[in-house]
Amino acid sequence: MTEFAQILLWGAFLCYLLSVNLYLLHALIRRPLLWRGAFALVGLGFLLHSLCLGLRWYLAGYLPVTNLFSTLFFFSWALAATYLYFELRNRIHAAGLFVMLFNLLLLGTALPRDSALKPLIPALDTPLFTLHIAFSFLGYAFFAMAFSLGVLYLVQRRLGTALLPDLALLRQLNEEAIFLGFALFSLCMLFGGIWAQVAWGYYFSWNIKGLWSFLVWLFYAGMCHAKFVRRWQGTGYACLSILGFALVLFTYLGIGLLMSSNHPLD
Amino acid sequence: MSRFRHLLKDFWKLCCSLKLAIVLATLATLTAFGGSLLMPSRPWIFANMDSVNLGEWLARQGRQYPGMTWWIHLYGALLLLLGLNTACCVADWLVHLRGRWRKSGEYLIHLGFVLLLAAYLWGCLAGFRVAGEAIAVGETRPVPRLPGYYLRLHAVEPVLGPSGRPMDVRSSLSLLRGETVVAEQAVRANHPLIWKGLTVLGLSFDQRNDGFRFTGSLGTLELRAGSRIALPDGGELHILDYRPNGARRGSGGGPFEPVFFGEIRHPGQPSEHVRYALREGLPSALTRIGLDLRPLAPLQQPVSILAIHYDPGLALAFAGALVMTLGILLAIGSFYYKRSRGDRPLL
Ligand code: HEM
Repeated sequence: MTEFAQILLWGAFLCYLLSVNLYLLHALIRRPLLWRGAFALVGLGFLLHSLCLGLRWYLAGYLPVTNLFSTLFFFSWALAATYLYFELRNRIHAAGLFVMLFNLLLLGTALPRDSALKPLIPALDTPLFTLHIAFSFLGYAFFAMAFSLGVLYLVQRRLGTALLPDLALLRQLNEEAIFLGFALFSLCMLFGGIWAQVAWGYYFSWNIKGLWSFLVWLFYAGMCHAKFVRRWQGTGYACLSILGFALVLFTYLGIGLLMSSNHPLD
Repeated sequence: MSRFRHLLKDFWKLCCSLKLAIVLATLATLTAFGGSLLMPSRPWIFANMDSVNLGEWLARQGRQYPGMTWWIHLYGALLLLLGLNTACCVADWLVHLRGRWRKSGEYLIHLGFVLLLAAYLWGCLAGFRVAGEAIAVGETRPVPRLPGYYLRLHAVEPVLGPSGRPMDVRSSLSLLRGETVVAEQAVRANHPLIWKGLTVLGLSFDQRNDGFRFTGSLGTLELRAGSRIALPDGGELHILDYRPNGARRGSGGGPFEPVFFGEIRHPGQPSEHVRYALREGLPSALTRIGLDLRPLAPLQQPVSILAIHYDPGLALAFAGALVMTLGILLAIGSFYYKRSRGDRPLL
């Protein structure tokens, strides 16, 4: 990776790190200036992150999301974008702490890894691959957001603090995140299916990654309905969001790293 | 009568029940999560699941390892029930379309799922997959298990990467129905030949020894199955067959060696069959008429190794994917429309 891209990457990481600290300070001493500063830093970090992604895309000639570094990097970018979307629409303020902490974890895990841009192998050289991956991580980012909102829902129910949005808003945002995440993840599955058909001659693979991705999709499809069932609204839904994200993490990291599949990571 | 109608109504309500959908989806998910844990540690059962379609796989491996594969049957049955549940839900929506057209996006997602599931089931029952079909340049071969269809290979060449290493293979193929070409494609990675339910993919390429180059009294000659040469005595030698490993040197244990099978024809005379194993020298029927043939080198013909998959539900699956994509876009659109009007669908 060029030195400039490396500077952008570290710049984004520093901005996110500072913003998490400001959010933390805001949680302790509650000054509007602090969350404004934190939010501005997320915005700046996201700008640098986007520039870095754009530069890497330009240098590679394809959207670089082919190994563990680049998928963590892209996942983190998608999560920052998702957070900004929710913050700008709903002003969730301190709720950003948890999301940005997770985002920091993602980017921090990516930083020490190999960021070199390798030539694309012919099997991945198709826009279907780009669409499949981009929608998958956008979907994952919304599921991560839903996970954060689910945790915050449980915290808020216990603490009832003015620092966090009220339960009704947290529940609504959680349901929105699940619905939008499901929609994006469905597009990922559809493009993945078309790609599999042209690459391997079948649109569904009984590889463990394919199977688990379908199950994750089915799980979130179930969640899109559970919100209509009174018993599952609120707390139940928050717990399902947490469980769902555990499945996502296992499907993304667990299978890629622990088991042999046709979706290896690194 | 009214009791029967009530029962029927209750049954239809159950078929369209959203709670039933959640229960079925949960059971299917749990079954497959549990079952899939068996997969990584038993590659001898599960590793080649994609090499044939699920129907054939279950008939073979499922029968051989029933204790390890029963969960796939259960999972399939639960998904089937979920599909029927969803189909009833869509049918109910269609009946009440006038009042529920705003939900078109959501229901198109459901319809897409039903179509995809039906297509997959169709493919499992009536499709097939074969891999490792070798076809030489210039050859026309019948498509296995699909009578009346043929594949013809025009050329095959490696696609080299920047470092000069072969990265891919490009095979120029035609698909024929009888004598008529119905599809043509330069098959390479991500560019299969797709025609109706048929998908032809290039796996790799190879060389096939299909003849020999000779020198001798007639100059340099290339002989392979189908070649003809005029003989010095006015007759003609037809090569009927060439087998690169058709003869065995020594009595029993020696290596296999090339052999030609031919026919000598003279006008007005019965033809005479000859067998020419290269190590053994020309048969006397040919030396007698003064033919001199000395083998120089084997002839290598490029060969493309193909995978041929047939899935009659492919078009339906594509329609399902299209309907679902449209449904997702509409559902997202209507989501934002509802938000902009401030009405949140709280049940
Ligand atoms: C795997 C199959 C299914 C998928 C992928 C699916 C997907 C969806 C999605 C994405 C929504 C929109 C949720 C939202 O507005 O946030 C939805 C809503 C809904 N689904 Fe399903 N669904 C499936 C099966 C079913 C079945 C079997 C039924 C019926 C028994 C059903 C009934 C409904 C109903 C009634 C709604 C609510 C529509 C509304 O009023 O907003 N779904 N579904």
